[in-house]
Amino acid sequence: MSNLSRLESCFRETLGLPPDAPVAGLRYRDDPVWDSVAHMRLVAAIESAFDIAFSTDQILDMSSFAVACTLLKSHGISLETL
Amino acid sequence: MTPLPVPPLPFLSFLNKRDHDAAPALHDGGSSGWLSFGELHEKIVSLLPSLPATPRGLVFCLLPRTVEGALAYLTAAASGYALMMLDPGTPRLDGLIEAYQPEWIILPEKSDLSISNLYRRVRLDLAGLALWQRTGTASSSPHPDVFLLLLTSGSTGGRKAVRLSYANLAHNTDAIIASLDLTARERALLHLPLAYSFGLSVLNMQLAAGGSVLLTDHSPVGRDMWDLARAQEATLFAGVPTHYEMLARLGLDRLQVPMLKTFLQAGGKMPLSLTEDLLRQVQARQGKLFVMYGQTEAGPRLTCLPLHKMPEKIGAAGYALKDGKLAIEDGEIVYTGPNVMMGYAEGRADLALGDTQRGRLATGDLGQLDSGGCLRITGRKQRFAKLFGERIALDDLEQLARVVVTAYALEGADKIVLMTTDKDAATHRKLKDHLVKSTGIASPWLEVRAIDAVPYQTTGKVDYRQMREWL
Repeated sequence: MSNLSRLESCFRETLGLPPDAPVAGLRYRDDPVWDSVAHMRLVAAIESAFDIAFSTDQILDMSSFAVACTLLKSHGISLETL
Repeated sequence: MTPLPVPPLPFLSFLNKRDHDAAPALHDGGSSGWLSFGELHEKIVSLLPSLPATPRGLVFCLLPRTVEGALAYLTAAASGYALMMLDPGTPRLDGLIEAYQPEWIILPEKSDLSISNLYRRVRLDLAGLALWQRTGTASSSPHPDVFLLLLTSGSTGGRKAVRLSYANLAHNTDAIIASLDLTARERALLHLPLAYSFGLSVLNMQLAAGGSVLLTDHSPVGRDMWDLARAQEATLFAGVPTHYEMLARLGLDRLQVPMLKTFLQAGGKMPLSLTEDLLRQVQARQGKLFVMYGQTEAGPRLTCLPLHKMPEKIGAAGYALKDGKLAIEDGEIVYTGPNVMMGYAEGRADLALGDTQRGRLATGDLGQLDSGGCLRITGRKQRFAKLFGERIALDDLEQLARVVVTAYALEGADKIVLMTTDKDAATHRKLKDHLVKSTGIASPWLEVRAIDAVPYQTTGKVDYRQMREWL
């Protein structure tokens, strides 16, 4: 599984979205399923999937799928498709 | 300024003053800045003619956490009407309107309200809010003592509400202030829903104590709330266990809100390790932590564990508030006091009823009292399964299972259903084996089910009713 699809499934699983749901445009609180409780689940899921630890600032900043991609890159995780 | 003849509620007492009070009262981060108590007074005087008070009726208040939302609440309270506080996103509002026949409805302007045949919109000078007045025949007046109606379960669309009197709210607000030793210097960061008894009590206690309230729609896991708290120097945070789990993960010090020193925790028992961790962080900043226990039925606070009892009594729910008494009857916590509701309501006819509760509340929670009067909650009476005559506390099973989110009994033939977001069949088997070994409950009475996400109420508590609907 590519890093990108792993990140996508973190979002789908923690937010309870169907397996084919588009996630690239997701933004915190735009969708009612991404609330503060789901946010913490999402943080935990991504941390465990990629074996990383987010800082407080990173948790507060992760306000969209796009930001999550940027944060992963800052942890040295490439999301390019090979 | 003109003193207003208002109902005897401590959080409206500023309306009895003649002098303009320049002390800050409300702010929501908007461009208009802090509204002082004097300005609040003037604003309420100007709004009151929109809600002519006779004959006395019922107002539905679906209010956002903004200065306008708080103003609408206070104006409705000052008008002498009975209020039902509701979440702006209340499901099946039509059913509630049909059941309670409110004379007035205040709700966000953008709300979709399919009641135009029964209600007409009237002018209300509050940005973002709309006022609707019922047309046609009048319903019977609520009992003169009834002040506030709060739903017992807001998120599931049920219509059962508690009836709280003016005296209930007056007593409880004063007792809360006494138990927290609250001063006018405190500035509360209010991020809890106004229709949630805990959230509303924070607004009430602050105004009654002459303190200020920073209302916010932001969430504890976003940057905006903490930027606002820092800029406006919030000193008091009130939250339920899920909020403190978030704070624990984020780290209080890393949020850079050094002024935030008073922490209130209610809305459910926290794991001991979380309370200990929170206590350490709060003490490190010379702050105060109050753990409290309450129920909407009690207006809402029952007990408080103050900081100075904390290392010794950590994990306990604390002591009965002023004028309240605790007793344990057959294991169940029973509270008597002047803040116990008048009774329940299922619809308009019940609003005419007087006090049917007589100051006594069987809480449905299980607990122990020590000789000093300190209460420890051990479980919840309603959350039991019965297997062959033996009672099994589901809260205990939750603690044992750890990964498990909840468990409960089916009607009739009891079966304990453990719900988890883990979808791995091997994990399910391990979980079941672990519980069979540690409790002696036979395997056929345990079922593990995967769910997509744990449902939460808007208050942050686990929504067990929703889970029951999935069975």
